[in-house]
Formats: sequence, C-alpha cells, structure tokens
Amino acid sequence: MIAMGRYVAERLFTALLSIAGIAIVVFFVSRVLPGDAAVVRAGQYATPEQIAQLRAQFGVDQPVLVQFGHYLNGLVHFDLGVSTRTGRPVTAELSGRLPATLELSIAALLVALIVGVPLGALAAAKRGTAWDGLVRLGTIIASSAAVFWVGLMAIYFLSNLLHWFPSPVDRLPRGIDPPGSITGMFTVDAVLEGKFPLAVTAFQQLMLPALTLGLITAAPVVKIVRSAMSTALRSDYVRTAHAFGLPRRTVLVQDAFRNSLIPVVTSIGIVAGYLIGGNIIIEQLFSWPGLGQYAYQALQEHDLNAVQGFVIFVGVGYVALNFVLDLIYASIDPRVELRTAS
Amino acid sequence: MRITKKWPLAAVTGTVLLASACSGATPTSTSGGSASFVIGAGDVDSLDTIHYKSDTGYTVDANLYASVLQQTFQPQDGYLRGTSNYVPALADSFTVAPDSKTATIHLRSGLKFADGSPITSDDVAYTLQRSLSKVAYTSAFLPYLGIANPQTDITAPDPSTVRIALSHPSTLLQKFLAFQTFGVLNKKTAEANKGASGWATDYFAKQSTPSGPYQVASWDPAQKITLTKNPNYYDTANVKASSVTIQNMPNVDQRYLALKNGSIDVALNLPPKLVAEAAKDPNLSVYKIPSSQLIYMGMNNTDPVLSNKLVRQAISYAVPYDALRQQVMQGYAGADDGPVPSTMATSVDPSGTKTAYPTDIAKAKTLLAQAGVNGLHLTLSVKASDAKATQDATFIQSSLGQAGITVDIAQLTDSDYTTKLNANQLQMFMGAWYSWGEDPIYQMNFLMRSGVTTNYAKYSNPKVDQDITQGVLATDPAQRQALSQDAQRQIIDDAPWAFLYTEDQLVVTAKNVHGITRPDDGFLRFADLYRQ
Repeated sequence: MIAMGRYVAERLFTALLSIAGIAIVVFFVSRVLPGDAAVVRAGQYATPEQIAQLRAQFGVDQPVLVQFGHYLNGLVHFDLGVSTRTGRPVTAELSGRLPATLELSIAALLVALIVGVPLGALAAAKRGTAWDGLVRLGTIIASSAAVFWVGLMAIYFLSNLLHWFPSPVDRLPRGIDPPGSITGMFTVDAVLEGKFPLAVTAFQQLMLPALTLGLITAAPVVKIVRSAMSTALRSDYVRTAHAFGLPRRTVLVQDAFRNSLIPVVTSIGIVAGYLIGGNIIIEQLFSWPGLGQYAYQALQEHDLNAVQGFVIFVGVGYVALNFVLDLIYASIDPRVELRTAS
Repeated sequence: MRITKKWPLAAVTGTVLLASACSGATPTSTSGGSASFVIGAGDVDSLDTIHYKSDTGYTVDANLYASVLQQTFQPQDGYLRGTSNYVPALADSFTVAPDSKTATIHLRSGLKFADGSPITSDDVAYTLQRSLSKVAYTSAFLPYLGIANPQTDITAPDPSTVRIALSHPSTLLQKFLAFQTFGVLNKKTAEANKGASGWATDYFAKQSTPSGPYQVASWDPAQKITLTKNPNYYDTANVKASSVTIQNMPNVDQRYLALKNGSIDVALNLPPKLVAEAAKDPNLSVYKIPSSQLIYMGMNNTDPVLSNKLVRQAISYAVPYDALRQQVMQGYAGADDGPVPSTMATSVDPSGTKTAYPTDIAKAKTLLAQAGVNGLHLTLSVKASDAKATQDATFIQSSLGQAGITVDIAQLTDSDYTTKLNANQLQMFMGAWYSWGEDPIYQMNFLMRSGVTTNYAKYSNPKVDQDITQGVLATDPAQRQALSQDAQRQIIDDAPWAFLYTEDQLVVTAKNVHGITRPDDGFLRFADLYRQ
C-alpha cells in the first residue's frame, strides 16, 4: 500500500513536471512563429497607429520576459488569455469545444479498440498465414493513408452515394435541437435526459467521423496486440498449457490473449496521440466544432493565446491520460508495483 | 440633390412560392420553417461593424444592420445585381445642399431596433462617428467622404435629423453611407458598454443591436449562427427568408458534397473546379457573377531588380493569362486590362476582353535583354491556405521559366504573409483586391498612390498621384473619367503588377433556391431568398 502511494506520488510529480515543461516550451516556441497577430487583426486598411494600438492591447509590444510573467500568472489562475481573433477568453472557448472533441475521440478510440484488438489477436493466432498477411496489409494501408483523403472518400461514398450516414454538416441534422448541456457530449446528454431517439440521431451523426478516425488509429492497436500476443504465444506458460493438453481455444483466450491485453492499455496512450493529430484534420473536414478546428484557425491567424491554450489543454489531457494509464497498469501488472517497491 | 424613399427593400423579385423544409431527420424544433435556409460558409469571428473580420462576419453584419441609404437591385442572369441607384433605407430623405457644404438626413418615423427601442438621429450620428473614429479601420474612408472631423461635423440637431458638414464635395458619400460598416447601432447600449476602447468594441464583437432585417437567434462561434427576422425592422413585410443559418464548414469539398445531398441550401466560396462540377449537376444552380475582384501578381517596385520598369514589363509579358483564366479559374474569370477592371466605370477596356499585356515570351526575352538582366531569380510568395493563388503561382513559375526567369514559390502562413507584405518584405506576391463601391479613383487611391499602406508594391509615380488627388475632389463625371483613364494608362505602362484576371463571384445553390443578391460590397443579402 505504501509502495503504491509512493508510486502515485512519483507519477503525479512527473505529470506536473511534464505540464510545466509543456507550458514553458509552448510559450517560447510560439514566440518564434512568423507573423504578427496585430497586423492580421487590424486588416489591410489599418494605419500604423491602429496596429500599434492593437499590439499594446494584445500585450505583444512588451519584452518577452514580461509577457512570460503575465502568461505564467494567467496560467496559475487558469486564465489562458483572450483570443486575438475573436476577443473571447481562450479558456472558455476551449472548454466550449472540449466536449465535441472528447465525444469524437472516445468514439474513435472505441472503434480503434473494437477493430484493432480482435484483428491483432487474429493475426497473431494465424501468424504466417494469409489471414496474418491480410491484416498486416490492412494495417500498412491504414497507417499510410492520408486522413484527409480517407475522410473525403468516406463522405463521398458512405454519405453522398450510399446514404448510410447523414451528411456531416453539424453535430445534429438541421432542424434538430441539441440536448441540454450536462456533459456537452450530445449522445451522452441525450441518454441522460432520456431522449433516446435524439441519442440515436446524435450517434448517427457522430459515427462517420468516428469511424474514419477510429479505423485509421486502429492500425497501431493492431500492431501492438499482434506483437504482444505473438510474444505470449511463444512464452513458456503457453507452451506448458499446450503440454498439459488444454484445448487450443482455452490457451488462446485465457492465457495468451489475457496476458497480451496489458500492452493494449499502454497502446491507448499511443492511440490518444494519433487521435490528437487526426482530430485536427477530421474536425476540419467534417465540420466538427472541436479543439482541432479551433487550433487550425488560430494557427492561420497567429492567435498565439489560442495556440498556446490548445497545446496546454491537449498536453494536460495527454499527461492526465497517461497518469491514469500508469495507475491502471500498476494495478493490473504486479511487476510494476514490485519494481517500484524495491 | 434629393433622394426620397420610393423603393421597398425587395425592389425587384418574382413570385414567391415557399417549399417545405427538406430534412431527412425529424425536427424537434421550430427552426426549420419553410422559409429557412442553411448556408455553408466560414466562421463568424466578430459582429462589430468596425472590426476587420471574416467574409462571413461581414455577411452577417450586412443582414443585421440597416444603413440610412441602401443600394437597389435589378434582375440579371437569374440573380439580383446592385445598381448605381442608392435610395433611402432608415432615412426618409437624404439631401446635399446646393453649395455641397452640408448633407442632411431625415429619418423615417417610428423606426425601432430589434429590442423595440426607438432609432433616433443620436444613434445614427453616433454610428457614423464611431465608424470614422480612430479605433475603426473604416476611418480609411474619411478622405472620400469630405468629413474633416466626424466628432464635430456630424450632428443630430433633432431626434429625426442628422447633419453632416462637408469640407469638400464627395461623389461617393451616398454610396459609402449605404455600406454595412455604417449600419446603425444603438447608442445607449454602446455608451453603457464603452469598454477600454471607449467605443464598445468588445461589446459589439459579441453582441448586436440589430436595426436591419435580421436579428441573432443563436450563435455558437464554433459551429453556426442563426438569424431570424427582425419584427421591428421598418420593411419586415418584404423580408422573405424567415430564418437563415450560416454553418461553419471550413472544408470546401465537404461544403460542396453537403450541398449536393441537400443538407445545405447555398454554398459560398467554392473553388472553380467544384463550381465547374456543380454546373453539371441538374439539381444545383450556379451563379457566375462578374466582379471587379482583381487578382494580381505584385512586384516590389523598391526591389533592386524589380525597380526596373523593363523587367516588370518583361514579367508581365511572360505571364500565361489565358491559362490562368481557363485552367485555374475554369473560365470563371474575366480578362483584366489594368488597375480598373472592365466592370468598373471609366475602365480603359469597358469590353472586358483585353489584358494589359498579352502573353509574349519572345517580347519578354527582348525586354530582359534591353534591361541587361540575365539569369533572373525571383521569389513569389503566396498564402499556403490559398489553393487558387498557389495554382496561379505554379502556372506563372512555369511560364516565366520559358522566358529565362527562375521563380521560387514561397508558401507562407496567412499571418506570416500578411505581416511580411505590410513590412515590404516580399519580392513578388499573389494578391487580390476588391473595392466596395467599385469606384475607380477610390480603387487606385488605395492601390497605386505613393505612400499608402495598401500600395503593397510600393509603386510611385507623381503624375498618377496628381491624377488621383484631383479625381478624389472632382465631381464632374467627364473630368473624373479623364483623370481616371490617364492614371490607368500610366499605371499599365509602368507595370507595377502583372494584372492577371478578374475573378467572378461564384454562388452555388440548390435548384429551388432563388433571390441571390449581389450588392457592390459583395456580401449576400438574405431578405430576398426564397424557394420556388
């Protein structure tokens, strides 16, 4: 128990250190990005005086260290500044978009796991066969396909031609009001409010972007599960199980597969990284009003507070996820706890 | 001169038949009425009339706020084209004294903002003063209006009268007063929310006090803005579309696919290739609207090599104008013969068939030899987000290569491009310009006059400056034409830019959607939209 407490404290310290590092790096990297938010915001007719006035308003006319001081002061008060593009607080804008991104990411992650884990297990169990080759080929294609292109083809074929999915114009079809904002995730909120037809509609709208993103991010899951299960299948305990005459199915499911699930937990952290990158493109393409779309627009217009806010938001989310995964890992894998205790 | 109210808002339209809303899902709200429309466009970043903002932001403002005057429309090729007539809107009359020293606006009686509070001359005077104040980029219009000091020269002597003292006659005053940037705001609300700027800029960026045909029903900046009819608008009986939602659809391919499958009714800003596709679809209507949107390749006239007129002329001869119009623009573009396109009054080529320089590689080589320039190596900058400009640049790169000029294309982020352009750090650049009001003198004053910020090529010719200065003050149409055309010929000869083409404004709608308007500011007015 003491060892577990110490482990949690160590992980928490590492997480906080990572977040501090992200916050510092993103500030200084943002400062070397080419462009001037005041020039962009002021517009083409603006006089030099108007541009200077905007620079003063945005605080970018001050020495970098002074700006950094304001930035840190804001951070400790959970204030990410004001967007130079919209004039709204960045924290509020990001918080408003977070549920859309979370809903899409969770759905895509589920798709990635539902597709990736069985396929990875199948490839390992049928290692060297045509099945294995087919899965590996699919993995290579999914890894190398451009997210943008896959998304566009998915819209064209699955929505426009086959009408299997609604057109990705919004989070809900036109004329349909969203549920009350409990979590901000429409499918969840509709269920919580007992509006099941609305939940189904929201789910249908979510599925096409989630499938696109999920199938692409399934590729690393397949690789990890295949590798882990292949290792398990070559292990002594599986060989022993076979030697005891246990049925092949029992050995595969109870010994090899269950033991190879531990790396799958780790893979969720890796997949989250894919999701963050993929979300930016998918949200642009599917008009999904999440964090990725916000970041893209902010980058185009040199909206530094918004860019910094996005990186910190995502960074904190990523670190928090990995912290939780570390804890899960420690609780399901005794080797982690033993190593820490020693 | 006196203008009085004669024209209702929907001056010219056909029969209105409203079709039922089309939606595959079961609507749970009342927002999908028969006269409601969904438009796929970009996002709305600000609602403030004096903010420089996204095109979608301008479009929304143009429908939220009414000005004292407005442009009239007449049918042309299936859409409603803005005419040169400007008539009273919130005004009951607009008069300029015979000595041209005073303009007087009398307001209609019983005008109200959307919240029911009265619109008075105080609101109009405040709005004009605000739009011409130092915090407004629109203060750039001041030299054309003949208003020396907005704070003292614009007054409200009684609740229904606004008086403007003019320092010089202005031929553009009526036109400019119809601009959406002078859409009337509620002074009391503004005074209560002054903020740091003193002009309620923070407030109006996020809130509105509509005086026009629509009001904001809901706005999720990430997703969409929905406008509904303003019941207190003076001409609300002639507002056909009861509700308009502008959906933020950043990807143009997806915008097009959504239009094709009926999820949206109108798609704005589609690229020419998709518009050419849409033209083949019997369920869609393509509105190809000739425009004076000028696409050019700027050449930095202060650059050691490009300061040589012969070199600039050589480059102009080496540009593949036909290929740009046919290949990049798919035919949705017009030839351009200089800084004043054919769609503007006083253009030296009213036929719209000539280019300032024909494509002539041999001539380009000869001029380069005359200039004593060999192995010319140039950098052409484009916004990476502008696919069309990048395609233009690629064609130009190839064609200039045939003339022995090596061109590197630098793709910059929007902010980097804009910052470097303002700082005079780009050697050659792809640019676009559209002048609200479509006035030739106004256009050249911004683009070609020495020392003006928006003269990005840093072109300077004292004779052109003189013509423009006189043109700003001239009220006689014949004199304006002579000055304008003299300046145009000088500019064409100096070749500060390569004048590439004029880009048509392209609007694609579902077949049953009608009432597309094309005012001089280029921003769609929703009031005339209907289904048939």
